[in-house]
Amino acid sequence: MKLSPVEFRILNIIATDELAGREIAKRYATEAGSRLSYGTLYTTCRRLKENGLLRVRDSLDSDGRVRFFRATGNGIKTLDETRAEFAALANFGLNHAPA
Amino acid sequence: MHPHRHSITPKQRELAQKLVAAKAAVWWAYRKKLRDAEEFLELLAEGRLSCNDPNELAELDDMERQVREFTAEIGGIQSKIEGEVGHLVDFNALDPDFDILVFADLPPPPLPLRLLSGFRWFCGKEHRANVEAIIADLVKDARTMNADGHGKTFVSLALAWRSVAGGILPIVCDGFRRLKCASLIAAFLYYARWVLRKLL
Repeated sequence: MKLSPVEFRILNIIATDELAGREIAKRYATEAGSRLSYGTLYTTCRRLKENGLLRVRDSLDSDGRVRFFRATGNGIKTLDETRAEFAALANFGLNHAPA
Repeated sequence: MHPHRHSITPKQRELAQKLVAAKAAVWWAYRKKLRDAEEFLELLAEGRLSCNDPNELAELDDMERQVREFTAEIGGIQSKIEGEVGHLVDFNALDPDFDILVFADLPPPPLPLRLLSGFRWFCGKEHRANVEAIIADLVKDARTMNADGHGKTFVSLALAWRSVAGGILPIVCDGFRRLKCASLIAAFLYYARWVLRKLL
């Protein structure tokens, strides 16, 4: 499966840790330098879950529902493949950059 | 247990807030162990951990006893906290069909969140859960903005923007994408042509 840049970043963030949606949005803003709305985040995670790339766990806190996300083994594998693909693409771009 | 409305003193509210936070902290601190314990008990119930060796069997029994004691201890702490603040905090409101209102005497949630809360009834199961999570996240955001000293109007506008542009819109778009946009556009064109034929 091909990952979009947003999906790739989200999977990267939850590759090692199980994180709540709000925490993912915060890390995304810090690491990617752009804000990600909660709607986009949760719908992207729904798609990733549908493809078996992440697992969701629901919990509750004093404000209501909290959804925790974590990449599955399949998700990590796809992430590695996409990483290699992006690296190859970047190398191609660097090699063919005008002097 | 339903809390008594309009009967919370600031001190009680503070205590309740601390205890609810403690309840969440207990769960957070032991979440991995609790999950492992649940998995272990599930495997045991399914009979996937059975063995014939008496020594192993005794060890398994001992492990089961320890796991049950551990889950009972954590459950005990959580229920004790619920018992202490049950008359102040509506724990039923935290069920999957929860409302945003947690404290009995809190004013109703801001309009954008009520709008979002109403929107969830038009969504499927998965998106309903997502909307509920978005509401909880926005409540936290609103609290952070209030703590940062932003004005009421600013917070309301920010919540409205985040609810509509950052909540409802992406979910509606996702819904369209799931419905396969192409067939939707084809249906629209078909009816548009039919209407045009009738008119002209």
